[in-house]
Amino acid sequence: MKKLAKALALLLAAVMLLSLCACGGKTASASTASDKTDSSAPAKTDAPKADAATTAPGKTETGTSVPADPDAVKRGGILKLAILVTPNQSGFPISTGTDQNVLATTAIESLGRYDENGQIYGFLAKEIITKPEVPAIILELQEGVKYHDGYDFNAKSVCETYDILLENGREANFANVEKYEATGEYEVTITLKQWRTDAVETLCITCGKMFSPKAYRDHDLEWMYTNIVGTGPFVQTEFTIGEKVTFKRNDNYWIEGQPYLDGVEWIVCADQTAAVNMLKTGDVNLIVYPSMQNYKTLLDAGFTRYGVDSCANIAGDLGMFFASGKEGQAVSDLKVRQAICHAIDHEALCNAFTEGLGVVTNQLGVPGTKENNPDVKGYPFDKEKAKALLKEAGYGEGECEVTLTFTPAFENVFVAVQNMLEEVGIKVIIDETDSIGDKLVVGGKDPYVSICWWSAPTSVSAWFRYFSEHPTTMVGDALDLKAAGIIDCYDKCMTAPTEADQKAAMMELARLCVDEYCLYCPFYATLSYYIGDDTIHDSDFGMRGNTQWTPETTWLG
Amino acid sequence: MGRFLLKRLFQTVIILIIISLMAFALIHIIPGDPVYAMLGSDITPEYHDQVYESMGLNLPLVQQYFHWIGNFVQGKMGYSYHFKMDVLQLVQRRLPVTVILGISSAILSVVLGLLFGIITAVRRGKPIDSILTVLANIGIATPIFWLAVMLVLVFSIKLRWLPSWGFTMPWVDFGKSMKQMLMPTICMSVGGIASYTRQTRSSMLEVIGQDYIRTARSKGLKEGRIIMGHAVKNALIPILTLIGMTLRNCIGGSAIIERVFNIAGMGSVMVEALGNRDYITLQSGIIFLSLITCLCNLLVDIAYAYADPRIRLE
Amino acid sequence: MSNTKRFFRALFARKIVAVALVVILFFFICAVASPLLATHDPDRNDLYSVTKGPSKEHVLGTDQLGRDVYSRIVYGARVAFLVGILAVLISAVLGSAIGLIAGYFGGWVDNVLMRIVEAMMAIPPIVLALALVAIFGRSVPMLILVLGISAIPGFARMMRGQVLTVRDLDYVSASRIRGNSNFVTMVKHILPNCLSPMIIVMTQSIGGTILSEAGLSFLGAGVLPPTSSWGAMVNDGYTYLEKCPVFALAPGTAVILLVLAFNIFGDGLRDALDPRMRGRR
Repeated sequence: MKKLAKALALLLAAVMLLSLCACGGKTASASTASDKTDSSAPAKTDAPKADAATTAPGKTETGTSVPADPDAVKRGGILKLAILVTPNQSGFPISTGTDQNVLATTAIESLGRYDENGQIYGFLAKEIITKPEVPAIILELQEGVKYHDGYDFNAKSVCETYDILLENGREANFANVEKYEATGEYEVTITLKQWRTDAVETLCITCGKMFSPKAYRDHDLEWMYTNIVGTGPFVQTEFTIGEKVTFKRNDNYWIEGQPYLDGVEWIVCADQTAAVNMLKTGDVNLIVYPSMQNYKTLLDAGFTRYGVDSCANIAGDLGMFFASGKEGQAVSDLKVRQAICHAIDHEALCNAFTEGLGVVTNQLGVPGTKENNPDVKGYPFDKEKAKALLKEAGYGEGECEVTLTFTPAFENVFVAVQNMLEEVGIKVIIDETDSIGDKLVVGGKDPYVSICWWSAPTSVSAWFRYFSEHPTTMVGDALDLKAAGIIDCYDKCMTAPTEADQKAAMMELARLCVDEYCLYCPFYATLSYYIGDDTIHDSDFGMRGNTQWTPETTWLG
Repeated sequence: MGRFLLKRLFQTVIILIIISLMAFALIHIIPGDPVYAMLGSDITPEYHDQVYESMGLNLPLVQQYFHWIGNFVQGKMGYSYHFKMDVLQLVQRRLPVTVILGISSAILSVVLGLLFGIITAVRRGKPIDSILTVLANIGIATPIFWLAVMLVLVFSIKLRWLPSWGFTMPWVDFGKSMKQMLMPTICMSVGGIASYTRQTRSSMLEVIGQDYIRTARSKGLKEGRIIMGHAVKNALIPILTLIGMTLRNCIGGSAIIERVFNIAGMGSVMVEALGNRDYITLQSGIIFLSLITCLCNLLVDIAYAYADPRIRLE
Repeated sequence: MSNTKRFFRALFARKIVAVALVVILFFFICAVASPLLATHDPDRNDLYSVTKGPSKEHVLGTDQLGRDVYSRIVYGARVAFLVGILAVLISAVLGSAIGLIAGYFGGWVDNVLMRIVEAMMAIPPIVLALALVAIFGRSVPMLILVLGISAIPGFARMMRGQVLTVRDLDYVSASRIRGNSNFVTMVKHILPNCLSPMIIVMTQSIGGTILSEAGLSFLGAGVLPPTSSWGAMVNDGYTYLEKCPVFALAPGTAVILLVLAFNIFGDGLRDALDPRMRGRR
């Protein structure tokens, strides 16, 4: 019997030791990354790097075997990416989900693209001519482009794609469009009702993803979701939800000599840790949207970050908004909202959850963007002030009760915020939502919660979701936005004739939403971060809110 | 034998009907409108009604059940709005993976469990008995995903002996398939191995104490023959009835294991379907997974009755 | 020698059983006296010292929110015992009732009840638990209910088997002849004879229930935060294996120890209560 007890103790100790040994993974993983580069090592470039010279079309001779091919070293290889959720509507990219967009970009190209500064330049439309005085937008399209199914890309097909979008729930994006028509074989003229600063973004990027209208006509919407048919550098070969999405090289790609890769594989991996293991064993090159803690672990282990340190590239900031229009809810009271904002320690949240990539913000526009108003006072962390405000509003210790919706993806931040609110004497009731539950809340049909989590875009053109006549997200549910003048102010931002006017309107909007009415409480924004081995070049991963990359110029080495 | 077979078959059918009733009830117990819950509330009312009708939800409850089960039996399980494919197609793709994993871990549980059980019973009180017993106990006590994560860390990342993820059908690439299956199978069978070891050990000890073993010993038969020929044979029969149970646990464990090892099987389908409120897939998945266990139970019972005639008369 | 004495002698014949009991008692004390034993408030965040290793202030370091891991383990014992014991009680009571009724009455009652039990048994346990969580939500009481329901079949089958062995014994028939109602006969004469196997199975299932809770946490269906449960802690911790091994291993070790202790104690109980097994080990 003693033996049994001894053996037991020994074994337990052994298990713990074994696990401990396994934990010193730092060195091993670092060598993994370098091993990979040793086999085929050209001069290491710091990825990602947008190299304009290589993107110029028609410069290289065709054929991979030509010895004079200056890009020979870039050719070949299959890029493997681990993606954590299954994007199940990628072939019809009208959804706003960033994961859908980044996957769809492999095969579907848009009329315009963002550069590093967030400015839009023409891509499938080689020139985007804006005429605010008409008002109109003229698109001069690339010639000789074909969709993967052989259909010609021209002015007619662009109009057809717009038609299909209109038929399928994108009316809101075309609300400002008088008409669009093909005014030449490769020229589309879009007449607007009124000039808006976000018109180019809406029509060339949000609704500018050129999927094949023929594919839609030959099949239906459900088919389109899992069949990505565009003009892009890669052609879809498999799309299995929950497993993988694979692409092979498009040999008839319109930019000669490109793409460099033989193929791209997106491997769906529901568990973060499994994705980390795949990267460590070299089964994938990159994790798309890793969790912050895994990003940090992998960075420490010697892997490379793919991202841009520019605030213009931030996808969105994390925060919460007050969403109860119901009578008698605590958050309908301005003072309570302000107390809640004062109770939040932004710096601490940013410190604990962003691993040095966070930017603290007190308004939708993050510091460093044109939308940010530096004069907004906001609600600095001050527990005493929070308590005093609560008292003013008529709530004693523990009497104020709020409901907080709980989204599993932000579990840690949620618990921290809950803790902060409880420290100033606010009672927090938890209400769990899952991904679909989110939709129920955001859809505006069931506004039963008092505080919602939200990840908001930082660019003014995307705020129509909150500040239009019929908002899809209830930022303004605690208040009559129209009476408060916020909707007018937002309209001014979007229709201002000059940049100075727009700037003034944006500053006023920030002041109204934060200092005047306290509609929401953003915590921080995070700079883009993908993590991978150091073999990926010129991919632009992490640029422009993580939704765009440049598959045609990407190469492995 | 014929009557016994018929009776068992009839029972299995009844069990399957009860399971189908449970799966059917699921969609009605979950709060809220199932279509809005599945597709989100931002769909148009027309689309909602269309899906609602296609699921037969507008019919009276009893009729609804028969509509659903009738379609199910004909293979028309419906369309999965999350996986964007026909449920039958999805199941055809994913179920074999889980079944292969489940059956191989059930087999591994039985083989290793019996082996360890016999060893510990024969070598009672010796060090090997202690070590195996302790191992079995720790095996049962460890959270399965923890064990899986540790194994991956050691064998995939540190030693690089085994791949950390994926699944290949054995007939496509046998070597690769075996390598990929090794760790998941071990994780899924740990619990089974441990309980078989314990069961076999005590059942063996009981048999060894019986008169006929003593008689055999006194006849001067070799110890090895006594153990294999008499003791094992008699100790095994009651243990084999547990196979169905083991398979059930293995298939249940696949929900966790498939996630850690990123295997696209039925377990991950169930978890993903639940997370995305894909009730259509969920209902069919429950029936198919239960069907496997039921069939396995049936086969075991038949084999058992074949081996032990007393059972047939029960 | 009195019966009780003989029982305890048999129970502690193996020292390891005594050790197991000590471990169980230790964790039980943790659960009952957690406010006294904990060094920190288990829910208090300190966002400026997250995932730190052991220090003078934090014996087992801090977790991803700067909470004291040691204190959370101490408080986690509450959830472990609450979920483990109550869930098993629920399944034991409901399962035994079903088994008792089925075994006692036999015939069509038995047929109907056992087919339902077998149907529940055919559904993989985790899938059943996940579906129930989707219906009932994720609070601690609901979790207890869910784990309790999914363990009913085992108890029902065990109980029915037991009842069948005593149903036709003389004293049971005698009770019926004396004119006792079915209920009285069942509760007074049959149930006491089935208690000892039931206690054994209950002790052995507590460990399994604690593990199921951990498994559900891994799949994102455990208790809601910020309640400290070992399952959730193991789940939080294992992603920090490299950065902060103590955080990853400490709750896991607690789970393993307690489950192991319950299993060994259950085995010991079986040996002591089942005379046939006495002295075999």
